[in-house]
Amino acid sequence: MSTGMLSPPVAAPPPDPATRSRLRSLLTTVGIPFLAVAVGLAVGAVLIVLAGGNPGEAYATMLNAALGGDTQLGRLLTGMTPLVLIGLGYAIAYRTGFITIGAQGHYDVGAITAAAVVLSLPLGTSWVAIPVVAVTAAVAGACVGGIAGVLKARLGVNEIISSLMLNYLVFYALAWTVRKPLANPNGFTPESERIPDWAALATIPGTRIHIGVFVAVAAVPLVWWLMRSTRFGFSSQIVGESPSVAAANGISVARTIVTSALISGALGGIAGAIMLLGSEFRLSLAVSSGIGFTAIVVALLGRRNPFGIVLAAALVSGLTLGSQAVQRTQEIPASIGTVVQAVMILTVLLANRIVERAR
Amino acid sequence: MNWSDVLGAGALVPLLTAALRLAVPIILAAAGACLAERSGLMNLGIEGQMMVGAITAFVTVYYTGNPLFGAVTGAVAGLLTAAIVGYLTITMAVDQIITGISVVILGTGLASFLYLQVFGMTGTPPRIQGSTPVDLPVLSDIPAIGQIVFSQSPLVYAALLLVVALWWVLSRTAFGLSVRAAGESPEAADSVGVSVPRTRWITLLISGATAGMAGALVIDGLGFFQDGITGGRGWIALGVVILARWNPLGAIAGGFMFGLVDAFQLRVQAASGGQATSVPYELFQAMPYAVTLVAVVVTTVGFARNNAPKALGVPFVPAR
Amino acid sequence: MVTPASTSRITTAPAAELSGADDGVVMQGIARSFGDNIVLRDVSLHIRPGEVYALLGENGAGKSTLMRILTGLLPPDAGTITVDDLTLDAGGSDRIAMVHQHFMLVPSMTVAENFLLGRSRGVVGRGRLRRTCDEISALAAETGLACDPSARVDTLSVGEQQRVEILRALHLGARYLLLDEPTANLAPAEVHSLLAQIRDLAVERGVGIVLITHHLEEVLEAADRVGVLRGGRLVAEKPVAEVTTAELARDMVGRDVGLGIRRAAAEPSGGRMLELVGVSVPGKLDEVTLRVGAGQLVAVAGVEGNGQSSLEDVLSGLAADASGAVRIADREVDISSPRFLRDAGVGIVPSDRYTRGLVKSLGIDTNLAVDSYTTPPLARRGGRLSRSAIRERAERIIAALSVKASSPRTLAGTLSGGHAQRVVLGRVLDGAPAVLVVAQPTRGLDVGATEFVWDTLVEHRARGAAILLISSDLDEICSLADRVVVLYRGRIVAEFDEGPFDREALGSAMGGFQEVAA
Repeated sequence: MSTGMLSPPVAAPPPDPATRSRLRSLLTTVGIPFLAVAVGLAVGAVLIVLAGGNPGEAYATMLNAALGGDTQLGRLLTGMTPLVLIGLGYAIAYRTGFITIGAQGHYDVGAITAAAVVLSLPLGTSWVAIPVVAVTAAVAGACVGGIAGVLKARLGVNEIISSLMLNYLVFYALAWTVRKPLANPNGFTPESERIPDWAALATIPGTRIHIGVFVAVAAVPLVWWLMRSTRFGFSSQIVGESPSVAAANGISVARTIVTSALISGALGGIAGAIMLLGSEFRLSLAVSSGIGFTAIVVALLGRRNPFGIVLAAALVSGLTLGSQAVQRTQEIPASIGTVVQAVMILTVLLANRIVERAR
Repeated sequence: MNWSDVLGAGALVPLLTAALRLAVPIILAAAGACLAERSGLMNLGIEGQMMVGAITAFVTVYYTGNPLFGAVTGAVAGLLTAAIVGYLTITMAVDQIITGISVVILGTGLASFLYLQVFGMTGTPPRIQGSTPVDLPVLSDIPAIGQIVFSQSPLVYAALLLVVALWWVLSRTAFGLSVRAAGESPEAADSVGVSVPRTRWITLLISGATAGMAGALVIDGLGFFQDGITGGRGWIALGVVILARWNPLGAIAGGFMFGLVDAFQLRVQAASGGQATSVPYELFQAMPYAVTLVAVVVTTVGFARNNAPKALGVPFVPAR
Repeated sequence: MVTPASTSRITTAPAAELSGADDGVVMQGIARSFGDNIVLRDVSLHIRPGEVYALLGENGAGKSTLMRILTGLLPPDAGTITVDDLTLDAGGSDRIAMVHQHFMLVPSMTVAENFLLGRSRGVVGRGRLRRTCDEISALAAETGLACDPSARVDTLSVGEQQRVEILRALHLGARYLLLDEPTANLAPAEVHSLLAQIRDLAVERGVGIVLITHHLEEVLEAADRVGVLRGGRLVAEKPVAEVTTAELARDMVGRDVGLGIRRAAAEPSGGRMLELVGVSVPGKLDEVTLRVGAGQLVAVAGVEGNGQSSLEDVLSGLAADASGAVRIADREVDISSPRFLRDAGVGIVPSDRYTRGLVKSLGIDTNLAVDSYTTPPLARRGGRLSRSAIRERAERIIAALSVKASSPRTLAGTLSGGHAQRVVLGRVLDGAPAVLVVAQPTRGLDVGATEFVWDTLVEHRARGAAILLISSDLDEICSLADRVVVLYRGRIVAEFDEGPFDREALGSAMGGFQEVAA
């Protein structure tokens, strides 16, 4: 008699190959960054213990510093802004095979330009200043980026070395600028005068978040669209993956590389200008802070995808703020944050490779 | 400012002596990098390995007072850091460039962390005593050259000897053949039984060790440590590799050029005594980097495009 | 590891004395799979010393896996191998050496250095190098394989590099040589010479040779026995004296193959759809003049290295220093950029599929859009791109050429050679070019894929396209061409105006031997 008896369970049919591969790619897109964060935080915990601290407390402080309240969130968003812009710049350049570490130089030169413009031109209002600064900073950044781009595209010069050397050159230009032409006669450390009030970026009412954030917000879909739906985005991909196929089809490899270098430089310049007019308000050596490498971290963690870059920028910005807070309050070196970032990228690289091999 | 203080007859020999001393860390790191790149491996993590080597050496010398120990521990630290690069790029065939950059970030962060761990955050910065120059008998009596080359510290001699040894290994030994083959045609090397991964591991570890030792030399010269103490020398060393056309002996000339410019700008700053000069001193500080950039451009356009090892930067997965 | 009893030099005793009853390389019941894919099933082969054994098989038949097992790179899943009565270990035997199709020599090192690579320890200074040079010269003299041991490999000709590879194998004590497509890049005269040297090595020195080739005439010329691999099985093994090429082709493919059939145009037309007048490239091409009419296929025959790639560059718009005129339908075309040539109606199938044709790491749809993304319908106003148009184009072309891919986004690198070539063809033909330039279109393709390419070309010729075929494959040329010109050292040295073409005369002309024009 079979009534009342359950029929034997039938095994669920295995998902078809297409679904399986889509699941797999979802796993890697989301899973790998998560893994990277986990490993990074684990290593960070070890270092915190070595430094005599308590990982739980330390991470709690960091989380608080990043997300604890409105001011913290505000700082997080403002910190993210340059990272997003520079990360996008790196992604655009990398697409054509151009690996630039010049973000620091683009950023610095953008800040210099912004300071120079508002401190020497009596523009009077923010409405005029912002466009002028935006254009000049973008052009300045593009010039610096373009030098490395042309050197690579036309002369075959290794862009890592050239962009790094350019970073140093711009840094010393910055050092001279704050010591001489724009120097603040009353300051102790070399720095420029404070920018006039009309030049400072407006903030969102009720917060201390400057409107530069919107530039970053706007840039993300713009860049996504650029990479996906424009001819430049298409040809960048070809040039980056196979310059010979590109050339054989009439795509100018040199022009594509230089264009990507210019765009990436411009974004970096704008980032620097935004930071100067939005949060620093004064040109100084502290402006130049190793952001170039951070951009690479952001871009890689975000898998060079504009939206991923936003998330990664949030993570890195939070990590930086958190490390600074932890150093202030618990005497744990902020450099742990740097180490964690490096561990995260290394994990991403390794995990990517393992997944690739398993295919 | 009195220019003859910098370039006058009496000042030239001290200038060149300082130049060589300043050049040696770069020469050493570049020579090691030549070896690695010849085997096809771009060790972009040199700056990080140098930083780690610098802090390790600094701590060692601080507690033992012996610069030679510092050089050794610095080399070991650099070698271990390079092992991270090796695992990723050789064993796992991950992209060499990004790995190298990541290791630089790692090394810089670790060095900073270690420094604060050992010495804490407050107080006067600790200092160490650099190694003292040793006049080689007879050789140091040769006019001019004697003082410049043969009155340097033992670390400098060791480093220069190492560089020559690296050249010799590369061009006169069976291992050197394997290295060159691994960099030019890894498939061909693999087919005759040369283990390309093993060859690259060895050259990479050597490169890491030389970078670490170079960091130790930087500390030895400056006597203190701070973040970014290596000042981009690791990157400059990579540029020198191009200048040297991937020959360790060539790294001596290329690195010396940098050292000369560096010594020159230091002297200019010292001679001007911090007073205002017509030419801003930042220009001189920037000179070494500008010169490196120009030199790399010139060499690349002139020669280097044809001289780079053909398989440089390309991950190799052996057939078996 | 089997250690040879003798030193690294082959003894000079005649073959008969060396071989015992069990000598030779004996493979019994070899099987090998990769996951679900069974590559070799129950293969049993016996290669005797002093014998030339030709091994035929299409791509994917299992030849390279079998060779990798023989050289110890891969262990078999089942079966045994003995070499001169000694079991083969992992890592192979010193007595078996493989000479690959793509030479495994380091180009920037000298011959002597290449010999010492991986085979020496410790110091290798001037003295050691000189001694090695002497050893090499002695061996070269003995075997008749001339070579200059102190020369850099990249200064040697293809034939000379071939000899170096063989010498190196012999120097290391090999008694059995596996030669993988050794004649691939040689001129017909050099081919004969190499085959003769191979026979010499076998007969005079007792070397057992496995000749892997797909040139059926070479099998007949040089081999004693021939084995055919198909689908992982040895489907035939016969003495060469008893076979015909037709039989062999059938064995390889499993069905009758129309390889030998001429497919000339029904009514070869004259006219000048494509015309080259005095095209020169310094050091590469010298006053090349030729013309191709609509509905006609003209073959440029020649051994690679005689200017073919330069000619291809000119017609691709990639030769910066070319002079002379190229005319399409009597109008001169600017050859300074690929775009101009494409706009003028020239489609090109490059000889190097993966350097110029396809990007392996990108999808088929992207690859199919590479040449046309700047024009509508793929392009839209303002620098934009229509992704839907790209996808539609990809789907259409994939269907039209029956490309075996699960989706348009499949990576081009996962396609087999034959299907990758279909993608390239599909892309080129989609523009319905009036002139088609195809360079080495069936290089590396198996018989089935080759047939497909030939059929496609013939079809487009019938539709009125003017086709210029640059090829080193005599079968291909004789089968497809309406007219043949021969390129030698950058010059047209012979013209054959109508088929059937005399292969001897063609071969001679390709090798530079002038004859009375056919």
